[in-house]
Amino acid sequence: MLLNHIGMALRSIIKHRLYSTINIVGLAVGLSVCVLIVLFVSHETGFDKVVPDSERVYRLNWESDQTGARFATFFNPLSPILADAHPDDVEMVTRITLSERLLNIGDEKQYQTISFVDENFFEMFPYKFETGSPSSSLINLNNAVLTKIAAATLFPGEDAIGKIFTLDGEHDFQVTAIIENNKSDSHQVSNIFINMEMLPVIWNDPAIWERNFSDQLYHYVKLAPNVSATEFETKALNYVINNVDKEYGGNINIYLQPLADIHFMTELQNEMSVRDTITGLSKPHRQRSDVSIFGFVALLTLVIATFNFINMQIAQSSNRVKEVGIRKVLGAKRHNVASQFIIESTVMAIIALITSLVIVEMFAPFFGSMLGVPLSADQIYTAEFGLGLILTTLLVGILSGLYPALFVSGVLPAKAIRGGAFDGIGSAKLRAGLVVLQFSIAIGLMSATGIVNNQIDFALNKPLGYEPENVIAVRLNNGEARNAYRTMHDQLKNSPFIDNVSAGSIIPTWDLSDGASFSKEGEGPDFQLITRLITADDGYFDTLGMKMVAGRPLSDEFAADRTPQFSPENPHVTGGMVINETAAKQVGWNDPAEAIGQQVYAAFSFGNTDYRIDSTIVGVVEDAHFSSVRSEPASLSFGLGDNQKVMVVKVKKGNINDAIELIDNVWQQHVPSYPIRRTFLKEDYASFYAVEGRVFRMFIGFAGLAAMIACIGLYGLASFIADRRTKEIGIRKVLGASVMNIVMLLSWELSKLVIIANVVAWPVAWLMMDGWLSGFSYRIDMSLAPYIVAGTIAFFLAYATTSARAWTAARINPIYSLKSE
Amino acid sequence: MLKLQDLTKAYRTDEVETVALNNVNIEIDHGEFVAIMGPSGCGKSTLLNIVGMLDTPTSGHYYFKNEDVAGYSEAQLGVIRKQHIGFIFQSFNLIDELSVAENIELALLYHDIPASERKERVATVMDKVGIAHRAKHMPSQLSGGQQQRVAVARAVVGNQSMILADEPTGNLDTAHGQEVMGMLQKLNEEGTTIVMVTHSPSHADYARRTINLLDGHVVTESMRA
Ligand SMILES: Nc1ncnc2c1ncn2[C@@H]1O[C@H](COP(=O)(O)OP(=O)(O)O)[C@@H](O)[C@H]1O
Ligand SMILES: [Mg+2]
Repeated sequence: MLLNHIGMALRSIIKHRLYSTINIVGLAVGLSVCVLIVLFVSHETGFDKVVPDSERVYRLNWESDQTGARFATFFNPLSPILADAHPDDVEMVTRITLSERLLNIGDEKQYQTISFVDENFFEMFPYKFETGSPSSSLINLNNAVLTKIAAATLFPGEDAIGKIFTLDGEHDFQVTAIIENNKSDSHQVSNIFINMEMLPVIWNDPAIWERNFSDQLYHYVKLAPNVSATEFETKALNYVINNVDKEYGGNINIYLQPLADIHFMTELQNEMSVRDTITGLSKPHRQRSDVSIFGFVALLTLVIATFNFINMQIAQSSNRVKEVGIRKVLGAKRHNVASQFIIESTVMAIIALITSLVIVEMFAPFFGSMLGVPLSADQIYTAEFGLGLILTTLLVGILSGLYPALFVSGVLPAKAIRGGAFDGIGSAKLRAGLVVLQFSIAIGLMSATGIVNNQIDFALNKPLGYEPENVIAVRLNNGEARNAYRTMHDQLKNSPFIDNVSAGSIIPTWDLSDGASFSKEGEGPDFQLITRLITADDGYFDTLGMKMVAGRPLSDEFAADRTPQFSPENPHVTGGMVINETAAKQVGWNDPAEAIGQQVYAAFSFGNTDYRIDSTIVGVVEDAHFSSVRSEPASLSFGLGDNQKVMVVKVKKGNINDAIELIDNVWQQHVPSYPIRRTFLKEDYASFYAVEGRVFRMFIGFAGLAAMIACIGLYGLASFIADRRTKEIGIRKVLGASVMNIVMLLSWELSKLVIIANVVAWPVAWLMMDGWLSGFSYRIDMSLAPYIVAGTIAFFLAYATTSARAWTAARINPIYSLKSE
Repeated sequence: MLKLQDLTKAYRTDEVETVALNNVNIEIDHGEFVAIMGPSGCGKSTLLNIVGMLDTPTSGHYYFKNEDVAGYSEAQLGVIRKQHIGFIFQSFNLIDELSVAENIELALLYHDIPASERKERVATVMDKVGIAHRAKHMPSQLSGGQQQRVAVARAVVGNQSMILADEPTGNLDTAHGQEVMGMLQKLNEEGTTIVMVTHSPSHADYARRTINLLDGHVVTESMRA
């Protein structure tokens, strides 16, 4: 019986090819978009799930009480101390830090990111070992573990096991194990692992494990089952204050960051790199809300496609009243007819599902590469996903068959055979309602797209507060370079190709440092100046194109400007300071000029020494976006000092190539042991935002597709209406209506639904987008323009679609449509 | 009023050519009441469609008010048609979604007539065919006879000078058939030219002239005494 039904269903689908095709294509495209987005969303939300007991694994964060900044790193010696002190709470701790080092193999030199890990790292983060073993491969301090791709990169065409490489020209390591590559949904990007005990040597920092306030490492902790993270946070904080260093008290907070959150926290300082330097794959942190928006778009697309499908089935069914009548005369029971309809639409839905699987197979890799996420359709064929997909399809099929099944099957055979108008019970209203909803969603999506696009444009084009054009950043990533800085500076500064040279501890696009809290003599605790510190050399602002809004930049022309490095021997230092606008506002100096000449100091004790830095504010600089334009500019202070990590060179326009050649030569001359690492600030900045832009361009594509699906349905509906109204069209033509009259009549009928859809969509979209925009510190003011544009596009799409169909209908000679049988 | 000269209509479908009208010569004067009879498939409807300018002849001439319209385009024919010709069909062809009054008004909609005047004319014509009390009803609520009266009203509301009726009584019982015929007769007496296809000899008797068709030829023309 069922087979018979399916056979009949297939025949009927073939018989009504136009409707069937439109219907199946609409649903298939909708399903495909939905599945592609769900693939992306599930990839993003599935980060680090493969780590065993991942729900009990956390990364230790700390937060500065003064600045409120939260750090992904944690204090060097603390996690093993905490683990030892709380054996019942902590199952395991492990640490990692990534450091770019010069790596030699034979004569060949290259920079590679080396990961220093605790010996038990591979117990917490399971990698499959191709050769070697997780427990023994890092036992010896001169052992190294490589991922497969790292092995192939460092030792192409050879077996890497047993091979030697040298770090910084002096430390040899031997490869003892090869492990699988990083998964695309793991936040780890390490490829070359060596034992963390080598850090004191490699970093030439014997005191690294003694410094309680150095946070150079990422610490992961696995709690015992049933231990509450919040309780352990408190426990840990109390323990370190009481038993490790009382200076933690009132200065820090401890957080356990769930492993699953790592991919979604975009506001952490000292965040681990998200770029795998060997594969080039980047796994940028996502805003959770962005991922939710995508999920929402997937859902809406599915809803549009489903409505479309239901609508078409209903439309179709009233054309088949006669067929139903005949069936019933021939003895079909109502439930036979009803199940026929349901089976038919289910069969169609299944065909659409199969079509969409083909589409997804074809587009998943392309879609993935657009989003910078390796996606493959394989994930569909998991039990959960597959089941979900099949259930959704069946649901759509059954739902859309239900209306015709319930109502059309109930018509009386005599009436049905006589033909005439069948309107079902409110079927015209239901259809109209579905079209309105469908278009509301499409219009909502399109206007949202416009707003997203405007906001992203606005954010990306907002004045940065610095000028990245023609600025080359050269990393001072070794002692030799840092020592040679002054010489290189002078030599470059004299070149006609170069406008300016300076250096700093941090430049825009880099992470900010920890902060300091300044006080002012004679002011109470109400005085608030908490800033992130940046060390700058003379000319820093000029080179980076940062403008002073009051006072003057820091300069060696003023002997008192330079702040010497403090040390136990020299605990009290003085110097000049420049703050930015945000910092000035924080104090309450609303006119930046008020800040000039103010004396502030930061005091703290460390070990047994009391330190104090006295600073005179000499200038206020315009706010600049060091980090994402999504966040507010940080409060910053700049001091003239010697802690330089990067040299910045402003090159004269048109002399880029000469300047690069010169910079490379100067480097070669003064830093012969290390290859140069230089980038264009403009490119650093662009890559900072590349992902953001790409994700939202994708969003735009989806909204367009959704609108298209809605139009497919509209075409179908127009066909249906035209078919059903052939007689009426004929009569009107006989009575003198022109083709144009008819086209206007039919098109208007559907287009007016689109106008109603606008009325529904605008307020809803407005509210939702207002919510989304409130997540930005710099946001556009919402205007009506995107709504008007979206509404107009939808209206004209709808009008064009329906007129195209109406045109064909209007051209039919009435003698055919009015033939009396 | 109109003159068909050597008029031929042939339909081509795939391989077969059907000659629906073959060298037809007919002249109809203003104010005439003409019945067209003949067996099914002989070309009656085809003739009426061409006369009504819904279709164009394959060859020959069609003079309407001394103007040869044989080669006119669909749009040109439409303009003449809506001014001069009203239609009545066997199956009434009312629009189900529109009320009686709206159905009638439809015939004025494409005539650039202001709404107030349209209402007036619709009211007048409804009175004339005795359907005024059903103005707000939907066609499905009316009997066949009433529906056909609405169709008649619609055919004349635009002051058309000629009515073409293709088996107007074919779907009606005897009594209602008589009623519609009476109405057509009255219209004819008031000066409207009527060309009607019918199978019923008694209804053909209302006409002053009967044209008999067979296989696309005019076989006989007979005048009533
Ligand atoms: N559109 C058409 N295509 C092909 N043949 C047609 C078409 N319309 C009518 N015919 C043929 O022309 C002949 C006359 O048809 P018609 O005028 O409808 O006859 P009647 O109205 O007298 O029954 C018939 O043989 C019919 O099959
Ligand atoms: Mg006929």
